[in-house]
Amino acid sequence: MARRKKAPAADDVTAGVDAILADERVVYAPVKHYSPACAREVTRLVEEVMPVAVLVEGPEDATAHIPHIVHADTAPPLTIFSVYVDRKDRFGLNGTLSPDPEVPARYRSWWPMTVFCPEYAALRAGAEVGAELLFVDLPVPGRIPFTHARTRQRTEVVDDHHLATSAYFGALQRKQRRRDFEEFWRANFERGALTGEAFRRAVLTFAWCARYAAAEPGEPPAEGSRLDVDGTHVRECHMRWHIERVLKRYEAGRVVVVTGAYHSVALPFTRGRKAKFKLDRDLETMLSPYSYSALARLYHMARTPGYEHAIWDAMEAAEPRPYDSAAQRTLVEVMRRARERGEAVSTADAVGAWQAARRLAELRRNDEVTVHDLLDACQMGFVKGDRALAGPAIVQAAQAVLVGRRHGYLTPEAGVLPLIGDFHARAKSHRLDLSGAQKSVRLDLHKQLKHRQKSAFLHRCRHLDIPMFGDLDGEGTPLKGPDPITGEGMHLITETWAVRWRETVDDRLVELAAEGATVAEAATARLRGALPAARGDAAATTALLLRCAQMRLVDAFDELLDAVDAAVVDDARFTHLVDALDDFVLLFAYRDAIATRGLDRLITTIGAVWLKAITVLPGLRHIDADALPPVLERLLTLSRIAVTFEVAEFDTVLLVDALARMASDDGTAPALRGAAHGILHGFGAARERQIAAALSGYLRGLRPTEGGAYLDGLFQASRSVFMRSPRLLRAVHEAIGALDWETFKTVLPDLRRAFTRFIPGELDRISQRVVVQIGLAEAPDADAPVPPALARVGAALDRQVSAALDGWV
Amino acid sequence: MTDAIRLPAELACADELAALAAHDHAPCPAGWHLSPRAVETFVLGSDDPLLLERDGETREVGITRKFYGDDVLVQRAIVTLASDRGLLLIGEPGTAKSWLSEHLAAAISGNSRLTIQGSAGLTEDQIKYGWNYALLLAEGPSPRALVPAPLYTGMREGRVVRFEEITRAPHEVQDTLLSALSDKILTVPELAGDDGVVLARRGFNIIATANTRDRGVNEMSSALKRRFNFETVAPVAELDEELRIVREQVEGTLAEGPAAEVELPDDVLELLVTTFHEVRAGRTRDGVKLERGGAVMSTAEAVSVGLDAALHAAFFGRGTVTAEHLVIHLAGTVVKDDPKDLATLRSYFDVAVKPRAKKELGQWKAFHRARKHLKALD
Repeated sequence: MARRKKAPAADDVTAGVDAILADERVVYAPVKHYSPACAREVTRLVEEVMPVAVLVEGPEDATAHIPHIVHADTAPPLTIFSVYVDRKDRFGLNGTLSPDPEVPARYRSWWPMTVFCPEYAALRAGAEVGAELLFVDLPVPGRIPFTHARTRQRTEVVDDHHLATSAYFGALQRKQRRRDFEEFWRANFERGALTGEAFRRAVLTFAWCARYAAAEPGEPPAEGSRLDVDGTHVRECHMRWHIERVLKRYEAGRVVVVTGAYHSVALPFTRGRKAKFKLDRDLETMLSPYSYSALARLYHMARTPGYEHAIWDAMEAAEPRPYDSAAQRTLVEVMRRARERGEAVSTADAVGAWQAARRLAELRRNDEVTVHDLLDACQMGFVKGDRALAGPAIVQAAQAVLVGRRHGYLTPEAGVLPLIGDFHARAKSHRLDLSGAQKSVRLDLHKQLKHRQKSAFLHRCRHLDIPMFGDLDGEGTPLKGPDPITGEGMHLITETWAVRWRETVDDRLVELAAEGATVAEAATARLRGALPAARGDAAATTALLLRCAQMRLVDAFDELLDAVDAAVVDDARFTHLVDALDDFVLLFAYRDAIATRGLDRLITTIGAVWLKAITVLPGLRHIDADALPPVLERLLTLSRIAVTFEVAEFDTVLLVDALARMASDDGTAPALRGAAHGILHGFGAARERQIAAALSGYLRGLRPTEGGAYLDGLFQASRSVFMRSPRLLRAVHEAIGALDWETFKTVLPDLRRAFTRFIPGELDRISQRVVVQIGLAEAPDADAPVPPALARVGAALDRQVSAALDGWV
Repeated sequence: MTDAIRLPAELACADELAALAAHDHAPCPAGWHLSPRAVETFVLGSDDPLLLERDGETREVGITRKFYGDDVLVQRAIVTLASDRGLLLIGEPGTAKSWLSEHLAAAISGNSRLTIQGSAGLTEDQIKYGWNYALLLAEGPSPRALVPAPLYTGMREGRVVRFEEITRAPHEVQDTLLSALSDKILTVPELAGDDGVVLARRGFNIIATANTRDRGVNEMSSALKRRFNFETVAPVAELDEELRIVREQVEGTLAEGPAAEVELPDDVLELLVTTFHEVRAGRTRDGVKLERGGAVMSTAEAVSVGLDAALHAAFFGRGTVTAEHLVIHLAGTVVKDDPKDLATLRSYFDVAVKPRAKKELGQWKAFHRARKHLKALD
C-alpha cells in the first residue's frame, strides 16, 4: 500500500507537484468541474493507466447508482440528487430552514453530470477498462453541518469556490486582466495544445499555489481554519480513508483518484479518517435525467453547457483546434437564432464577428477562441447601434445557444423518480398532450367526475409551479374559469386550460422530488408548508382550505379545517372573519365541483366563524376613519351572507341585536351607523322614523358635517329605504335646507359621495321628487318650455352660485 | 511647445510610446505604429516599467494607466479599430470618451490630431477637403489648391481620424463618412485622374464619440450605424478609482502653474468625489435614496470643481483647498441650465451631508456649514 507522503514545504511548489505526480499507486487527476479539457485528460489517463479502481469525488451513497450512470443506454445530462429529511431535528434547524419547527427541514444536494464533466468521463472510462468504480465523498448527512447548516441554505450545489476565491487566483486575474475565474480557466487550461502530464502538472501547480500561497508576501498561507469550518478537511480525510481502503483491497495495480484540483494537492498528504455521520432512511439519494437549462440555472460555473458540449463533440471528433471549431459552430448558430428573432444579421456580419473573435483571442493571449471572446465578438459583429437598445436580442440568442436544449436520458433499469413516474402516469391517464404544442383543455366541472379529477391534477401542477401551462390571452393567463379563491369568473361553468409541455417539466419535478412521491403529496406538502405563516389568520387559513378543496387534496382537508377552527378562536379581526365566511360561501357554491369532505363539520366551522364575526362587531363602533372602508364593505358582505346563505341557517337575530346596539350608540362612526340602520331596515328592525331622526340629529345638531358620512353608510347598505320613503326624502331635504351656507359647503363633498351610490335612473326619480318637494306642482316635461316659476328658482340659484364662486376662480 | 496649455497624447506620452515601440514584438496590423497588445498596455498601463534608450542613455519608463473603467471595452475597441468598422464611443458627458479616443489614436497612428469637431455648423469641407480659393481661381482645381481636412489626410496617410460629438453634426454631413467607412474611398470630383480618388491606406479608421445627453445615436442613419461598432463608456464605478483620477488630473493640470503648490487634502478630495459619486448613483453609500437631477455629475466635472477650488485656494486662500472652496465652485460647475440641479444639490446636503456632519465625520461638518454658498445662488 502506498504510504501517506510527508508534505513538502508550502512554498516549494515544484517539490509538492513532483511528489503528487510521482505516486506509484495512486494517480491523482486534478479537475475543475464541468471542464471539457479535464474530461478529455481524465479519459486519456484512465485509458493509459488501466487502473484497478477509479475513485471519484461524489457522495459515497451514490456508488450504487454508478452502473446506471455508465450504462450504454444512459445519456447525460443527469443528476445525482440527495435529500435528507430531518424528522428528528438532528441539525436543530427545523423552523429555520423549514416553515415551522414541526415541519422537518429538507436538505438537498445536487451533483449534475454532463458528457464533458470529468467525473462522468472518469466513470465511463473506468467502466470501459473494467475498473472498480466508487464515489468517495461524504453523503449529505455528513456535509450538512459544514454546508447547509453553516450557510443557512437548504440546497447545496457542488462548485469550485476554493480556487475561484484564492488570493493567488486574484493576483493572476489582475495580471491577466480576466473578468472572472471562468475566463481565467478557459484562457489558461482549456487549450487543445496542453495535454497529458503537462496538463496535470499545470493544473496541480495552479491548485497548489491557490491553496498554499499567502495572500500577501510574509503572511501565512491561505490553508487554515476556514477549511475546518467549511468541512474541506473532514471531506479530504474521508476521501483519503476511501483511497487507503481501496489500496488495501488491491495489493497491486494503480488507482485513479478524480477530485477537484484543490483537493488533489492535499489528498496525498492527508491522514485517512472516516467521517462520523449517521445514515438512516430519511436520506434518499436518487438519479434522474437532467437538462442543460436546469444546469445553467443551478450551477454558476456551468452557465454555458451547450457550448461546452460543442467543445466536447469537437474533441471526440479529434479536431485539431476543438475550441475554435466549437466557437465557429456556435457563432453560426447564434446568427441563425438571431435571424429567427427578427434581427438582420448577415453572413458577412458573422465573418466579421469571427475575425473579431480571433483578434480578441490573440489580444488576450488565448490559444483558441474562448466563450468570452465569442460573446464579445457576437456583440461587436451583430449589434448595430446602441448596445443597450439593440444588444439584448443578440445576447438572448447567444445565451440560448450557449445553454443548449439537451435533455438527459436514463436507462430504464435505473427506474424513475417516483414523482416523475406519478406525474407522467397521471398526465397519460388524463390524456394530456405532452408534445410541446399548446393545447386547450376544456373541463365541465359540474357534470363529469373525470373532468373534476383532471382539473384537480392541473391545479396541483399549477400550485407546484410545474412549467406545463400555455397562454390563453397573450398575457400569460393559463386558465379561464370559476376561481373560488379570487372569487373571479364564478359565472363560468367550465374551466379552460392552456397546456403546453416544456422541456423543463422534468427538471422542476426533480426539484420537487424531496416534497413527495406523487404530485398530490408534493402539493399537500406545499400547502402544509404555507400553513405556519397562515396560523392565527382566519382568512388566510380558509384560503388555504379553499385551495386544498380546489386541488381535491382530501387527505389534507381535515388538518386545514382544524387550522381554520384554531384561527377563528385566535383571530378577532372582523375583516378576516368575514373574508373567511365569504370563502366558505364560495366553497359551497362550488361544492359539486370540488371536494369538500366532512360537510357537517364544515357547517360547524362556518357557524363558528359567523358567531365570532357577530361577537366582534360591536367593538368596531369607534373605529378609525382610515380603517372604515374595508370594515363597511365586510359589514355589507356579512349581511348579504346572512340572508343568502341558507345552508348554515344563521341566527340573524344575533346580527340584528349587534347592529341595533351599534345604531343606537351616538358614538358609533356615522358611516357605520348609517350602514347599520340601512341593514336593520332591510331586516325590518329599523323604522324610517328612526333613520330620519338620526339623520336630523347629525345635520341639525352639533355634528352636521357627519351627516354626509351617515347618509353614505346608509345608502351603501340600503338605497331602497331612501327610494321608497317620502319621509326620509323630506327629512334630508329639510335638514339640508336648514343648513347655513358655510356648513352646507363643508357637508357638500360627503353628500355628493353619498348620492353617487345611486344609479342614474334612481337619481332621476329622486330629482323628480325633489322638484315636487320644492313647490312645483309636478315634474317638468323636458321638452316643454321652462315654467316661469322654475326659471325664477333657477335664476336665483344661479345668482347664489355666482356669488359663492366669486373669488374662487 | 513647452508653453502649450495642453499637449496632445502622442507628445505628452512620447516616452511611453517610444518605450512600447522599442519592446513591441507582437504582430502589428498594417499601418499601425504599435501592436494591439502594446496599444492595450499603453491605455491600461503596466506594473512593469520598460527600458528606453535615448540619446545614449537608458532609463526606465513606467506605463501609466490612462483609462479607468472597463478593460474589456478597451480590448474590444482596439480590435474594432483593426477591423473594417469604425468605433463609436457613446456615454454620458465626461466619461472620458474623448480621452480614450485621443489615446487610442495616439497609440495606433502616433497622431491624435486628425480631429473633426461635430457641431450644428459643421460642413463637408471641414471633414473631407476644402480649397485655397486664391489658387483655385488662379490655377483651377489642382492638388496644390486642395486643402486637406482630417478625413482626407487620415485616408491618405493611413491614420486614425477622430470625430468628436458626431451626433451634433447634421445628418447629411454625418453621412459623408459612409463611403470612407464602407468602400474606403474618397472621391474628389474636381480633380481628374488618380488625383480624383483617395484610396484609404491601411491603418485608416474612424473613432467617433457621442454623448447620450445630446441628440441620440438612434437618430443616425442606419446605414452609418451599421458601419460602426458601438461601445458604451460608463461612469467610473469605483470610488477609489475616481479619487485617483481626479487627483491625477487636478495635479497634472496645475503642475508648473501658479497654483502648483496648492495642497489638496485627501479628506477634502474625498468629499468632492463622494458627492459626485453619490449624486450620480442616486443613492448614498449607506443606501439612502437621493433625488436625481439632470445635472452632469461626471468625473470630468469633478475635476473641473477640483481645479476651480484649487485655484481659488491659491489666489484667494491660504494655499490649501477647504470644504468651503468646494461648495463655492460646486454649484457653478454642476448647475447649468436647470434650476432643478440646484435643488438636487441642496437635497443632497440635507439627506446625506447633514447626518454625516452631525456625526462629526471628518470634513463633512465644514462641508455642511458651507452650504450657505448654495443659498447665495437664489
